[in-house]
Amino acid sequence: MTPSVIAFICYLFGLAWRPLVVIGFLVQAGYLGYRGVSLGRLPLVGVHDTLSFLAASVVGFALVVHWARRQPSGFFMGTAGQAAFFTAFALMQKPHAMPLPPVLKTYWFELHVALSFFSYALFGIAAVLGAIYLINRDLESEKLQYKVIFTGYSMFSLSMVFGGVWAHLAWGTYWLWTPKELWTVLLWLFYSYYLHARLEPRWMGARAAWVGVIGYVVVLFTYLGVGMLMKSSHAF
Amino acid sequence: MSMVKDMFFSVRTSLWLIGAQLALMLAGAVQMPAMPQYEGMNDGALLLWMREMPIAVTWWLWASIVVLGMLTVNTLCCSYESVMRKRQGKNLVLVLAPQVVHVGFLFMLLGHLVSALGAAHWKGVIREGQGVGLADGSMLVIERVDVAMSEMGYAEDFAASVRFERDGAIIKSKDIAPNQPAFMGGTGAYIKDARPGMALIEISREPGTPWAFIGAALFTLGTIALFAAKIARDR
Repeated sequence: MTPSVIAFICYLFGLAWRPLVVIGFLVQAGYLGYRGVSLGRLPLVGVHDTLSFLAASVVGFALVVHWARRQPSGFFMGTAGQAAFFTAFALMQKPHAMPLPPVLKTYWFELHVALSFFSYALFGIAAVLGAIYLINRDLESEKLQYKVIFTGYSMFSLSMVFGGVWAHLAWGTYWLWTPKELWTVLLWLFYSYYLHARLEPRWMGARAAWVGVIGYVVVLFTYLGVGMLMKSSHAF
Repeated sequence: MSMVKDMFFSVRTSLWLIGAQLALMLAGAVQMPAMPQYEGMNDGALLLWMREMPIAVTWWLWASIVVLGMLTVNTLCCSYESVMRKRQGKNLVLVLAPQVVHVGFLFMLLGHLVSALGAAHWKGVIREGQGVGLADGSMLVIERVDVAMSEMGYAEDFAASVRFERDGAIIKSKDIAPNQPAFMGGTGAYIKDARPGMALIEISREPGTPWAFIGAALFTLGTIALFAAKIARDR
């Protein structure tokens, strides 16, 4: 858990000094890599692992976005802030150490979950970009929000496809009516709405930015709210 | 008539319909955990279940069928209009890729509809040497169950050798394991759990699967093509 503590501190103080964010990411990614090697699989089971994975993904993708187009300090406040929050939450959870049930020992599971969290991270970054637009009215931020959401939506759609294939092989059906699946479709429909709305000129700007910000609330409820508040066979 | 035509050839209609479907799914998401009547929802064909349940339980599902029906017409109309309007453009991938995505979506809807009409699931414990009759008149027999038990008493890994037979003649033999089912005539045999000498087997029929997977493949192909075309255009 020490690497997670170090990563949390780096993200927190990285709000004031950006290089700490990079150090925090390297420490957290290294920790996840070490856990993966020792477990013999991607560390994607349980709240601790998935929160750590999400935190690292947010920062990793944020660094890519910053490299593609230099971002204002508010961007790292938003993304490193998210990563600090998720890492702090992960520290309160015990890492999953039990052997995997046989049904989870498949590449379909790993692809499905990894892509889900990559897309959650991108939706989180998009929310930050939307907030930056709403504060500064920087049109380039809103355009970048669209690109990030489109990328996240593509990955999310692919994660749903892989999840369906896995479910077909594991449970005899590509779809189950459970709270998690229902909220997943809700999330997918929400961003489908965003992408189609943005085709209309009157939606570009503040309206789209708000939808992108609100979408992240739906993401967080789908990921954490459903898992913690509802009974579902589809756990973390 | 012209007003109806304009309505279906409009992105604003798409937004209204997607918004309506969002609201319906949200209502269902709130209702589902609160009502025990939903527990049998996954046991078989959804439409048969919907017909047996009170409208207070199923209203959002019936409404979804209507909304998705309208969205299907709207999607086909908008896709046709978009291709006709943009077909002279330089970048054919940017014109066609979104429509491949739309067609993929519609195939997935078709898959759900077909499964909603004809899905069937059965689950039960079968001992070595015993079998269960299938809908097509054949029989699934468990020949052997292999289990690795952990010290804590649960099955760490398991598999079973099964055979499909009809009128005493073996049609097919296969080893099944988690994520490695056996398929015969549109029916899948899945091993869910095992103990020495017996296995928990699920027999599953999902007729919509081929349509859903065709749709998923088209959706994925269209999305990747659109993504690549947008990157190329922005460079």
